[in-house]
Amino acid sequence: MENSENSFSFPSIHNFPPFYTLQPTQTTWQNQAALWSEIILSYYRHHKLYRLNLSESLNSDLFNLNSQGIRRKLKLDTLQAIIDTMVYRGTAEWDPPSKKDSAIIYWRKPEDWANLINNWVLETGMSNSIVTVYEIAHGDSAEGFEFHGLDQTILMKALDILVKKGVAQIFQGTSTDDMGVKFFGVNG
Amino acid sequence: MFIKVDLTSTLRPVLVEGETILAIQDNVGLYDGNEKAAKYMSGNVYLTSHRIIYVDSERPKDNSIGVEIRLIKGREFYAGFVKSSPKITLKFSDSNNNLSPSSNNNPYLSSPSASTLSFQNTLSSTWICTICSFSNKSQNTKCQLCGVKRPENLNSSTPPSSISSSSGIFSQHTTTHQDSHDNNVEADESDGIACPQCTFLNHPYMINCEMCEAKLKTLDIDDEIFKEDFVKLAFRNGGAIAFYDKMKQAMNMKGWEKPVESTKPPADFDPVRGGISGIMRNAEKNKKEQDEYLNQAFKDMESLKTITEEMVKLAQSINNRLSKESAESGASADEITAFKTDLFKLGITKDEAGSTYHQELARELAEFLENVLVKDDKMMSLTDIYCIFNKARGVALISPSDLQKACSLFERLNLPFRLRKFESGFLLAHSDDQIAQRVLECIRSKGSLSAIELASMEQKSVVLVNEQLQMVEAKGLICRDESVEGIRYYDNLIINYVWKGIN
Repeated sequence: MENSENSFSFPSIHNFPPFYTLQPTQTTWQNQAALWSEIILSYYRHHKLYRLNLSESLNSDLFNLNSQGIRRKLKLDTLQAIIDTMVYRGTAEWDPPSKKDSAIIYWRKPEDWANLINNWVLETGMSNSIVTVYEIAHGDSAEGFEFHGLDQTILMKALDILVKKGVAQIFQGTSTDDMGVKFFGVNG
Repeated sequence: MFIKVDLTSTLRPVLVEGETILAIQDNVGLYDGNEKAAKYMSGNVYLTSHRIIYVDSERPKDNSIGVEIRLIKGREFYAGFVKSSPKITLKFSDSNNNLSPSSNNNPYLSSPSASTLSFQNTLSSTWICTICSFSNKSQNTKCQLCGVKRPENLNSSTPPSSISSSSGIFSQHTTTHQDSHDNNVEADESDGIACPQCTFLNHPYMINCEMCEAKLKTLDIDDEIFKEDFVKLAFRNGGAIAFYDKMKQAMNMKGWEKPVESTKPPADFDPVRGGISGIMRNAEKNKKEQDEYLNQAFKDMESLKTITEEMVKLAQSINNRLSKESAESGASADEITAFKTDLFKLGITKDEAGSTYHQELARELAEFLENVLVKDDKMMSLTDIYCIFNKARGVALISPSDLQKACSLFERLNLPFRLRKFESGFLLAHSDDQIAQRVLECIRSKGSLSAIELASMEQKSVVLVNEQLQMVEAKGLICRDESVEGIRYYDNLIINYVWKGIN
């Protein structure tokens, strides 16, 4: 699935200087935003990242071009516009929604995460037992699964979906990590 | 009668030699007999010296038809009443049934009365049942005789059987009607129709083959756009009276009978007229003709207008002779004459076009600019266009405001030119496509270009180049790269880039 652990191979368009300018022509911009969101999703999946802090990540190699003497950097408002289109498509969400400086990237939708977790519960035979939230994201038994290291916010959203479906029940603890989840072992 | 016509790239009808446009009216619908013709609901109607041409506004390429005026045997005018628009009826049969009750022309009849309506229906709007061949009234959806549903594609027609079955009061009309039909039959359908299945020669009026019941493709349906022998033009935007007057003039002038000068074969050599005396006689004759023209032309304004073309030709021939004598530099003289021949067809006037004047002017201008702008840098200031265009027209000069209005219509009419206004107020007309192509080529050859670089390459002003770049960018052909060094333009790789992703 991945070429190597650390390097992410960008498509050739990532080296195209105009790609870093918000294109004023609408048709061009639509494809530009779509390409950017694809790259962001792939990059985040590759590196297992969930949260995009706009001002910080603008300095990462994702949004920077530095080759053959050409230096380009995505502007903050351009990135905001890109994330806006992703939010519109349901592949990202502003968090908190009021401010546009941090976003959750859904390279997998919360529903998919919920299914993955439920499958894991069924496979490992933890039906009808109580698991803490911390165990799901960081526990030994979850190691090697895709949701290992899942962002807390996304995890809670996924669990909420499971509760709504009637497959799980959440018990309040002292902190979010202490929260317990009881799975009924029903197929979602 | 009606045949399809060719259109120019600017959606005007292609005229034959010697043909001139006399009047144009927009928003005209055609009626096949008394029923609306579905394909020809709204369009521009051109009256030329030879033809009446309908150019559809929805699908001009498919639904544009014309008819030669010489085929029109009769005409009628109906002034319109309340919601009914004024109409001109064109008749293609010899019958002089002007007094028949079917005509809408009766000046004392404000609206068709019930009796005329029912008459029209029995006479002109019948359909023949495909099963039992009974002719039904148009309002019947089922066959009266056998109850079979009316097929949708079957248009109403006027079979002789329906006429013979109609009551006696209309006998006068029906006979003339039949006559015209019979004439047609003798003329072009005397052989009957060969059945596509069994090759049996059927009578032209048969719908199904008498032998094998196979459906016949009647010549009538194939060749004729309209089935009735009269067609109505409904003028929804007015202008009917003026159009009717022009049409009368055109029919009286018989423009199609005039020999076309350029195609006139040289007179046979006559030994009596040979030699120097013959040449002299010829020259004398020509001179006399010209004098006559001049006298005729300046008698009054009306006649001057009608023979403007001859006058322009005369003036030009004199001009040519002069320029030949002064032996101007070869290339430019050639260019000028070539240019002038381009321009003979120009000269749409307000009288002809009426409400569509600016649209027609825009089309004419576009055709003109196509020839002129190719040579230069594909753009021209409006003042220059004004000068060169009026020079080309020679007569019936246009005003600057008309020119500007016409140019501003380029975009709406989908013509390949645009009027651009700069902040300074400078107006410029240019061809979008050609410029876009050129700019794109420059950028592709260099990889990327700034406005200044392109300006020096093309030797144009930076302001102008900037305008062009933005126009091409808006078309999605190029994209920009903004950096501290300024804006550079690249070939638009973004718009068509597809990335499969790594997963």
